[in-house]
Formats: sequence, structure tokens, C-alpha cells
Amino acid sequence: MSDIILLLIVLGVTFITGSIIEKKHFENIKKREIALIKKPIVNFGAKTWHTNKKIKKIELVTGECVISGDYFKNFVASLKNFFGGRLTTFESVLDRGRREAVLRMREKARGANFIINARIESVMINDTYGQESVPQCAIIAYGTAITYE
Amino acid sequence: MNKSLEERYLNVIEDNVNVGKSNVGIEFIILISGIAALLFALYIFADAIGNFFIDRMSDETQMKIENAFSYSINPIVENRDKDIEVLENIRDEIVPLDKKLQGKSKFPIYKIDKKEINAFVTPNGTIFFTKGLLKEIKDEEVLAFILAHELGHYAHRDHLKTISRQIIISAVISIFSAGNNNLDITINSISDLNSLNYSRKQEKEADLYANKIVYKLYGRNTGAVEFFKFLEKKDKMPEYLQYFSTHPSTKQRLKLIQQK
Repeated sequence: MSDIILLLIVLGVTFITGSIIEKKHFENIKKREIALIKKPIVNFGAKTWHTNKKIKKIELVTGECVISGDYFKNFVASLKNFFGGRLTTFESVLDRGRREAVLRMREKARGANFIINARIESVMINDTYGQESVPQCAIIAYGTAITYE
Repeated sequence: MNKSLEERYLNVIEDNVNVGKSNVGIEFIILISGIAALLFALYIFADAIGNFFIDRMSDETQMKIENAFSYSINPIVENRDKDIEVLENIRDEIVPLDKKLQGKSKFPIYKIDKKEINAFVTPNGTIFFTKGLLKEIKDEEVLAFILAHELGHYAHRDHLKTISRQIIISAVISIFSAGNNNLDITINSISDLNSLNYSRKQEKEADLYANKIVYKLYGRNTGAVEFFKFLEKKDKMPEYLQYFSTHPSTKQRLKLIQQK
């Protein structure tokens, strides 16, 4: 019986802490996105890119982020796994991870005019099937930053 | 940058389409209640099947199963005692009253060296009384009620019903939750609550049975009422905690036997 009560307490606590952390993270992301709204412009397409202007600097910029859901999110997701459907608890985690990674890449390219050929990749860092596997996702955003003279 | 374009970007930042709009807490509650409903149906199903076969089982089969169990129970207890003799006399009065009790186990009675107030019956009909109980309770009518309660469990084949239900349920659950640890925890917690519910039902039936026996023996159930009033004084458990307990609350048990 104490198991159920302990489980409910852990779920309740992680639900509250997770919600607070997620809310703060989203606020932080929004603030930074609004601050970076003008520069640098990110180009996710063009494999070849032409310009007539003189280029001062070309460099690789990357942004990385490893993100994990809280205990409550993982718990709900694994229950949902039984019935199927959208894992809504993980959607917000993935969204946070992606935006954070892209933001870090853009912050790294501060002062540049363009980021061309930007790409987003996601990987699992640890052993998915191991005993001590932590449900997490690493997201890497990378591109080429170009600064005009 | 273009003004309208900038506004659109701001809109995208504010209104995120990539995240589900549903409330996670509500989703969790729906999930849990869905699983609970499924388990509840499973319990009704398993209980119906178990009861159907066990109620129709012949006495010989029952004896065979009980003998298979008796190997694993080796009580370290002392026998031969004045208290035990009193209990044995009561037992010999009760057994002729019910056909279900005759021709099966001999219902040996033992005393266990434990302080708590408790008595229980094993699947092969051996009845145990704790020292604490025999020390506190001397009244014959009360002892008769307790003994009849334990014999009631035996007469209703409660042990076999519990075992059969557990076998069916654990088989189905292990198929459901194969490899999913969190689902396993949830299902087990809920099914613990469910099985406690059935356990309380069995206790109530055993109480009613004991009540009937006591009426046949003495023509009144004042002893049983006294006993529950005594228990009520002893334990200070709040009423709502009964949902986490194997037995119904003492208040409810008192009410149940006073109705008859």
C-alpha cells in the first residue's frame, strides 16, 4: 500500500516541478527568440548559395541541447504506449529541445548576416535498451554562418 | 525586415503549433481511470470464473488441493493449553452445525507466540490464534464468534477463490505489461486495491456466517457485538483508511452483525 502512496507523491511532485521548469524554459526561449528576430537570418534550404557582396568570414556554427522529460512525463508516456496515440507529454520536450538548439546556434552566429544550410539532427545519447537508460534526446543544429564585409 | 513578416514571426513564437494543447494532468487521470476500468472488468471476470468452478468443486478435489498446500506450512507453536482446550470444545460444537465443515479437515487449533490480536485459518483448515488475542479475550461467546469466522472462511473456500483469482489475474497482467515497467507498477497498485476490495467482501461474508453460527449456539450475538466494540476501542484507524485495508472497518462490521 505504501508503494501506491509513494508513487503518487513522486508523480505529484515531479508534475509540479516539471511544469514550473517547462514554463520557465518556454518563457526564456520566447524572450531570446524575440531578441534574435532580426539577425542572423537562417536559411534551411539552398545547397548552393550565391552573393555578389564581399564576404569577410565563413564559419561553422552549431547549437546542441540534450533534453529529458521529468518522471511524470515519462510515466504518462509509457502508460500511453499501451493504448497508442500522440505522446503529448513528449511533444513539449522535443519542441523545447529543438528551439533551444536552434537558438544556441543563432546566438553563436551573432554578428553574422546569414546562416546558410542550417540542419537539425536528433540522436539518443545513451543505450536505449540498457538497464540504466535515461529517456532523453540530444538535438544538434548546425549551419554555415556568413558575415559580409 | 518587413513589418508584417516580423509580426508573423512573433505570432509563430507566441502560438506554438508543435505542442499539444491538451492538459497533461487531465490526460493522466483519463489514462489511469481507463486502466482501472479495464482491471475492474478483468477482476469481475476472474472472480466469476474462479467462483463458478470452486463452488462446484467436489469435496475430494478440495481435499487434494489442501493436502498439496499443507506441506509448506510448518507452524512453530505450542499446543496443549487450557485456552486451546476451550477452543476445541467450541469447535466440536460448531462443526456439526454445518455440512460444509464435516468430513474434511479436522481443524487443529494452535497458538502462536505473537502479541497482536489476530486469528487466521490456513488453506488446509488449521486454525491459529495469537497469544495476544487469547490473553485479552476470555469470554466463550466471543471466542466462538472468532472461531466461527475462521471456519466461515474455510466453508466458503475463500483461500481457494483468492488463489484462483490471483492466478488468472497475474497471468493476464503479465501479458499486458510485458517489458513495460511503469505500466506494471500502475497495474499492480490498482489491482492491489481491487483485491483488497474482494478481501473485505470475504471478511463480511465470514462475519455473517459466524453471526449465524453464534445465533444457533447461544441464541444471541451479544458476544460478537462486545468483541467489535472492544476492537473499536483498540484501533484508532480513521474510517476512510478502510479502503486500503484487508478488513472492513470495525464500525461497518459492527453495523453488519447488528442488522441481523
